[in-house]
Amino acid sequence: MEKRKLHTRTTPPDPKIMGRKKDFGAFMDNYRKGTTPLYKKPLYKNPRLFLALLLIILVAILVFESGEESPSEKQNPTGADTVKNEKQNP
Amino acid sequence: MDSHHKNKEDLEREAGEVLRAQKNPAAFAPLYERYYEVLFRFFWNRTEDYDLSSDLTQHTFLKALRNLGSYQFRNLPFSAWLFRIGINEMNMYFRKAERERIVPLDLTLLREWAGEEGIDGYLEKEFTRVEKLILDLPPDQLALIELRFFEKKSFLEIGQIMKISENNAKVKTYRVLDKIRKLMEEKE
Repeated sequence: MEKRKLHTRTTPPDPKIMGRKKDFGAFMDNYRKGTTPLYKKPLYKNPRLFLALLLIILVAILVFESGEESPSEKQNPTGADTVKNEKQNP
Repeated sequence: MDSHHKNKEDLEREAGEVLRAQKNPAAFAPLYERYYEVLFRFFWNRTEDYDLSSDLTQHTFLKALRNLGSYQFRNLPFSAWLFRIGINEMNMYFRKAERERIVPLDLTLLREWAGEEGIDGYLEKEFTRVEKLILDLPPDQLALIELRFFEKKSFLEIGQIMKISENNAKVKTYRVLDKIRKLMEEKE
């Protein structure tokens, strides 16, 4: 439940401050930012999206690299088995 | 909030402005200019915070402009639609934020009602209890009381804002007042 308090006397807002906050240009900018589809915006103009894509690419490269190394590690991770086999069957 | 009192010509002119803004968002300017201060004051009276009032006003206008395509003119002032969005935005904000919300009330109007009901003596004597009863009302019932006893709205206007008929607005408001009266009598 929200916290509430009763005011039986209210002070009106300062018209000067209220006037400073009123800005249709800024409002329209906000509206356009919220409604312009991403594909209509060049990538270099959106640093967040650019960084996110860069991060995804880096992670993909790392996953790919580790995927390439893992089969040989699985087959012979330390080389100990080979030595053991050689001893059993000289 | 005297913007609700509009004659047929005003309503039709405003409907034309909305239609133009539906086709071209930049044409929303006259509606923004007309209702900015009205909405700002509405939020200010409930927050007493310039930044928050400005944010809530901007959010209300943004939501209105984004959903303007679904707006249909039904011989009602555009402001009723705006205030409905504004009240929802404010309720949503206070549900999420750990912040105290101000409930503005005009005591003169409340005293008039208490006088009609014959409980004015109790109202003066036990104002703290009455205050608690009002503050504990659910959001939709509180909105009815605020619109009636602070914004000084007619039942027609309250109905337009709450999207109910004039008669329903009257019945619902009196039901809330009756609830308060009964609770006051119980505690007397």
